This record gives sequence, C-alpha cells and structure tokens, in this order.
Amino acid sequence: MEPNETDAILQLRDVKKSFDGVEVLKGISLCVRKGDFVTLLGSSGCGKTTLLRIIAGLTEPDGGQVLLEGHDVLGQPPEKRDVNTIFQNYALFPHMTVYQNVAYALKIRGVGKPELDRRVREMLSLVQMEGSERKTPAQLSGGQRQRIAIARALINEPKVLLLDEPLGALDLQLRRQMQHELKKLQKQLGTTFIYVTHDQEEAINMSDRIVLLHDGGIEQQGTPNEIYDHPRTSYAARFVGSANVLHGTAEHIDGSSVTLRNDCGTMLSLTDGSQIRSGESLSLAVRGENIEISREKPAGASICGVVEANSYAGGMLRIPVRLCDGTEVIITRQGIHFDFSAGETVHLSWPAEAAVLVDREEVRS
Amino acid sequence: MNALKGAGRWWLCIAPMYLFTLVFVLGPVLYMVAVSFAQNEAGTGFRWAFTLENFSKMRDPIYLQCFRESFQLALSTTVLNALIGYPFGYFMGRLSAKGKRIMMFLIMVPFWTSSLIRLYGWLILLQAKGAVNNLLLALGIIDAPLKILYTYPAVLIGMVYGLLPFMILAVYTSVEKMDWTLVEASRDLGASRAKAFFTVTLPMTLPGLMSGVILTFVPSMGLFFIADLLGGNKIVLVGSLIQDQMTRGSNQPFAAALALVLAAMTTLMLWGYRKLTGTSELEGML
Repeated sequence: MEPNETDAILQLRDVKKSFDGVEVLKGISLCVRKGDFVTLLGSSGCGKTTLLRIIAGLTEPDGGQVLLEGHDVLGQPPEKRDVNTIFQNYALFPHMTVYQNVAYALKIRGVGKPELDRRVREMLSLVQMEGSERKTPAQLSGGQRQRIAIARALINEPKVLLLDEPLGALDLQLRRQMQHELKKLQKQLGTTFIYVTHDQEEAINMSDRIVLLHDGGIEQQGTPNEIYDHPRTSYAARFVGSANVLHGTAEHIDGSSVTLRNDCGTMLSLTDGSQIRSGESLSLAVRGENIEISREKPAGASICGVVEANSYAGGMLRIPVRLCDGTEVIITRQGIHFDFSAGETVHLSWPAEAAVLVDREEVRS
Repeated sequence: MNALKGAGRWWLCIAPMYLFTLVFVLGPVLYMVAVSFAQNEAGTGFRWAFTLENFSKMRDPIYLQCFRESFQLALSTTVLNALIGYPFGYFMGRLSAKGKRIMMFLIMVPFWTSSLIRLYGWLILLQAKGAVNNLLLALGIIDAPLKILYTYPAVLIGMVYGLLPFMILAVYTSVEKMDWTLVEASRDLGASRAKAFFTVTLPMTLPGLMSGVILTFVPSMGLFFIADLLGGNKIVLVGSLIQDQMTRGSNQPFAAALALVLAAMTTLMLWGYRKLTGTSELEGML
C-alpha cells in the first residue's frame, strides 16, 4: 500500500530546486511512512542528495513544501529540525575525540554530565564501539568512523534519519556487513530512515520502499519487489533489474501474453491488462538470467543474434549477444561455464512470464 | 655500488645549499655572538676579549624601558592584527574562486612598492593637514586637526598596516582548507550559527591564526624603521637602538649583545606560546 497523508511522518509537496538555471528537482511529491526504511535511488546527478539536503534544511528549495509530522519546516534552520544526517564522508569533527563527537548534540542542548555519559555509552554500545571514547577520528578505520557517525546522529533521537550514501567509501565486504547492521538497527529503533544511494543492490537489500529518481523527477516508487518485478519504464527496468529493453510491434495477443515482432524475430511478453492494438509499437523488459539460448531455432517465439566476447564479474557470467538490428542483449549465467563461443549465431527465447511491457503511458497496475 | 654512487651525487647536488646556509646564516650568527662579548673601543671599533660588560649595561632603566616598549608595541600590533586579520581571512576564504583571486591580487599589489615608500605615504596621510584629518573634519567627527603623526598610535597604525597581509594570508590558508561539511554537520546536530563557529570553525582554523600571530609578532619585535619614521624618534624600540649603536653610536659589541638578547627573548616567547597553545604544527610554516 502506498503511504498516504494520514500515516506520513514526512511529506514533500512539489519540491523544486534549480542551480544556475538548471532544474535539479522538478517538483517532487512524496510521502514517507513512520518507521519505514525508504531509499532514494538514482544515478549521480538525479537530485537525490539535493532532496536530502532540503529535508535536512541545508539547502532551501525554490518552491514546494516540506512537512515533518504535518508541520511545514521550510525556513527553519537545520538546528531546529528534528532530523539528523549521516554525511557521505561522515563529517566527524577531527579536533574532537570519539566521545566528544558522539556527545556533541546533547552537549549543545545542555544535557548534564551524568545523563550525557550514560547516553554516549548507550550509543557506543549500540554501534559496538565501546572503549573507543578517547580515540580521535583519525585513529579509526572507515567502518569504525561510519559507526561513530551513526551514533552521533542517533543520540538526538531524530524523527527521521537521513543517510547520504553512507557506505560508498567502504569496500564490498564491509559494505554488505554494514547493510545488514544498518537494517537491523533501523528495525530495532523503529526510526524512519531515508537513505540515498546509487546502488540498486543496496536499495533492494535494505528498503521497505524504493523511490527511483531520474532527471529530477520520481520515475517509480514502490516496494523492492514491485519495482524489480514490475518496472513501469525502461529506465526503471534497466536501473533496478539490469534488464534488457527490446522494441517491437504487437502482432498477436493471446489471453495474458502478447507476441512482439521486429527485424530479428518474435518475442513474448505478459500483457499489462490494458488494451493493445495489433500493430502498436511496444517495449518489453526481460532480465538476462531468464533468457534461453540455443543453436537450433526453438519452436515458439525467438530472436536471433551473434555471441560476442563474454566477461565474468560479481559471480556472474555476462554474455553479450548482438542482434541483427545492432541491439545488444546481455544474458547472465551463474558460474563461469558457457557452451557457446564468440561469433556463433544463436536464438534467444523466454517464456511470456519473464517479460513485462514498459513505457506505457496509460498503464495502471 | 651504483646506489652509493647515486647517493654521492645526490649529496653533491644539495651540498651548495648547505654550504651557503653555513657560511651566510650560521657564520654571521656565531660572529655576532662572539662580538657581543668583545670590548668596545671608541672610534676604532672593538677589541676581541671576553667581557660581560655589554650585557650588564642593559640593566640601565633607559634600555629596560626600550625593551618594555618594544614588547608592548609588538603585542598590541599582534592583537590588533588578529582582530582585523582573522575576519578578513575568514571572509576571503569563503569568496568564490574569482573573488579569492581578486582579493589575493589586492593584497599583493602593495608588495610591488618598497615598504619605505609606502610608509612615506602614511606620513602624508597622517599629517596635520593630511587626508585622514581632512576626512574626519569633513565628517564633523573632530573640530580641530588631530595630532596623529609622531605619536604612538601612528606607529601602531604603521605596524598593523605593514604586517596585516601575513596574518590575513595565514588565516586564509587554513580557512581555504576547511571542510565546510563539518559546519553543516554541527548545524544538523543542533548548533546555531555562532555555536558552530566557536565549536568547529574556530578550533579548525586555529593553526592558521597561530602562525599568523607568530608571523606578525616576531617581525614586530625587531622592526625599527616604522617607529623611526612615524614615531619621530620619540618611541625608541630595541630595533632602533641596535641600529643606532651599529652606526651613530659605533658600539658594535653592545649592538651585538642587544640583538642576542632580543633574539633569545623572542625565541623564549615563541616557546612559551607553543607550550601554552599546545600546537606543534603551524599552518603555512614548517
């Protein structure tokens, strides 16, 4: 269910921002439900960090509203807003010890020494950094700095925690571990997290909801499953599912599936339930792991192409196949074994369930 | 073998620099130390000896007064410089790249002219019928021309003017390097603008301010021509005294002893300052 105005802790209404005449945010409207882990996903330059800074109060938007628990917070300086940020480079104070860093927010508020001590110890144990009170940030590793930044931001018990690509500087193994820990922490505390990343894997692993941003607007939002299985646009299909997007004209509609034809053959896709006219040009998205490959032309729908040099990355074999019209289709397989060699002509096919139609203006799921 | 040859050549390259330093820096200092213990002979120079006479002579109240005035002037110059130079350097560091270039240019322009000539400029500005008095009269702030020239304030103005660029540039260097997300983090965590400045910006730029303090304090202990020109011989600093003893007084051993004590005092104060502020690294200096 989409979050609505009644259960939203944070609401954005038509938020706009331009820098030097370039429109970075083109009117973003968004509801964030209390206790959700929401990810703002997008490539660099899509405006996700700007949006986060607007929520934090570090950047003023040109127009729109930002409501925190129903109250418009625009015009309030960052120190007055009940949100805290974890910055991309952590922004730990280098001239202070770990203890002073974590205690900073409470000290500013004038919390007394015994209470301060207790809270700092509590936060440090929450992020498993007990005993590091007297170290300086320079003496910590990347992962440890990350933990201190989390402790420092959470000590204020913010209504919303904003995280700006917090794992970007860590190596892959540590990043996976921190993903898991962040998610656990968020569940345990019940704090609303708004998490900015360009990494779709991170977004899928951690989020209750993903908001996919593209070119200053919201491309699609929903649960990770919704976006992964039912991308509405070719951009969403490519970005979140690394899917192949292929074009053709509708030829034959049979119940829940449709056959598309182009110069390289025919392809199957699920229909989206809306009216499709024969001859209409359509786009479908299909993920590499669902594509069958064969030397003989299969009985049903198939397209043909030529195998190109494959590559191995991230536990997956990526096999590019060049179609006769020049389009490149990426097929993925587990492991490193693959029976076809570069230059061979092959036929590609997939069951209708493996493909969805995208870029349909009138689509309502 | 090859490595040895390489190392030998490396030494050959830097040896001239060491030799130069040895001959032209360490040499004169040692010479000055030796002369400070020598016996003055009026008219003919000095005779090599070992006497403490030159040092005991300094206990004369006239000379003590001279040291005290020099120290006071250096201190006021430094404090004023910090009060003016810090905000200046801070705002300069926050300008756009183009703004920074323009400001840097404006700060550098005066250096193209001899400092002596620039001081003559102040002479003209500060005199009874000079621009400063005319402006104050025109604005109705004063009724009769002020006597600024040949007073302590004139000397102070000249000193602050002469040394301000060093303070500005030292502060600017550290403000330039400042990571402003730290200030954002501080605001985000609940600090007001002022609180963020005092808890984050100021401590982070302190090394710049401190090297600015040293860069202005040390020279102002020895500068004499500003006081001579703008103070009209009424304010005698250690620097002027040394120069006077070297030339007119022709008492080289006493001049050497004065210079040695001045250098020792300055070093001691720097050491104390470093102990007090607990810094070992200074921005823009080694």
